[in-house]
Amino acid sequence: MPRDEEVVAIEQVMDLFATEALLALEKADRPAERLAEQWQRLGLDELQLSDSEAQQHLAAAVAGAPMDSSDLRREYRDSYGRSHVPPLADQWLDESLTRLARAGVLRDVVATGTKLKVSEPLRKAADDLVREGMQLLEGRRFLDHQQTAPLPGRKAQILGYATALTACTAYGTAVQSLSQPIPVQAVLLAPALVYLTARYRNLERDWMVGRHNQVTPAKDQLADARWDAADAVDAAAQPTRADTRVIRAARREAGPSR
Amino acid sequence: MTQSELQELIRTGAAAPLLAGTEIGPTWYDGQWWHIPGDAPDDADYELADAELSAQFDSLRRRTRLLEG
Repeated sequence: MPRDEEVVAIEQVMDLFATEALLALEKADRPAERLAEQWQRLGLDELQLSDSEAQQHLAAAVAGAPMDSSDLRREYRDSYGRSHVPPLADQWLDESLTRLARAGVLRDVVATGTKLKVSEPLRKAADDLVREGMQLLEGRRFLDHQQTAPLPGRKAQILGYATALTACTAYGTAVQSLSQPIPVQAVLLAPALVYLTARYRNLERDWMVGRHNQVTPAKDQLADARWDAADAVDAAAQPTRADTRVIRAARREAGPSR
Repeated sequence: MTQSELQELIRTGAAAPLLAGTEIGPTWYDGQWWHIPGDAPDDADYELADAELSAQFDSLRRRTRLLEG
């Protein structure tokens, strides 16, 4: 992928984290003070924000002139749903700003034009994410085919949706588990995951509306499918945690970086 | 300096990469920044960064330290 495209992709991830920071800000205690405190702690004054809507809204908030973020909020919830919003707004704000700062460092290193290659444990974790992304694409094609299928297709559809959630969970876990910039591959994958998750949610909604109008699905059957989905998410999360252990072990072996 | 030589220096702690977790990337060694230009072959040797690039790496290292802290 050309270097400019990498920078653009990382900027999209920065937009995602800037949006999360804005949403967290709406619910945080003492939002102005906390934002200023974290901004300074993370050295974000040195981060050059882009002219995207999310990053400009965040810059305005830092300058003490909050803007109407309702469009960003709606887009975010269309992609992730309400259930994705963490309950602890202060912690979410801190994490979002930290991720924004890390992505910003990575963007600026990439922009210097120097050669970058991530280490084997990180590459493996990123490859796993890419693989899950590919499964997501496969599931997406399957869902397109299943849109008009009778009820037996429902279980596979729910499981496909669970795969989408799992991939996003894996991405989030990878980002959280690394006290260092995000692997380049994972960064590049993130916008695709956001897009695919939005598509899955639309398919889910369409299916639910269609089924409701027909008044045919048995609620018990639907509940079973949802339990299967939860099981699928739990089971698929295991390799992700194993990856995290590998990464942490590798870092312990490597010792302090300086 | 070859890639394997610099990786050995990183392994022993004598050299420090700008971004933890990178196998190839800007690296601080012997009071100077070393890097491989993006358009160089995959097996190219590390070379010294010029003053302008070194200043950028210094700034980025300051930011990464804030994130680590």
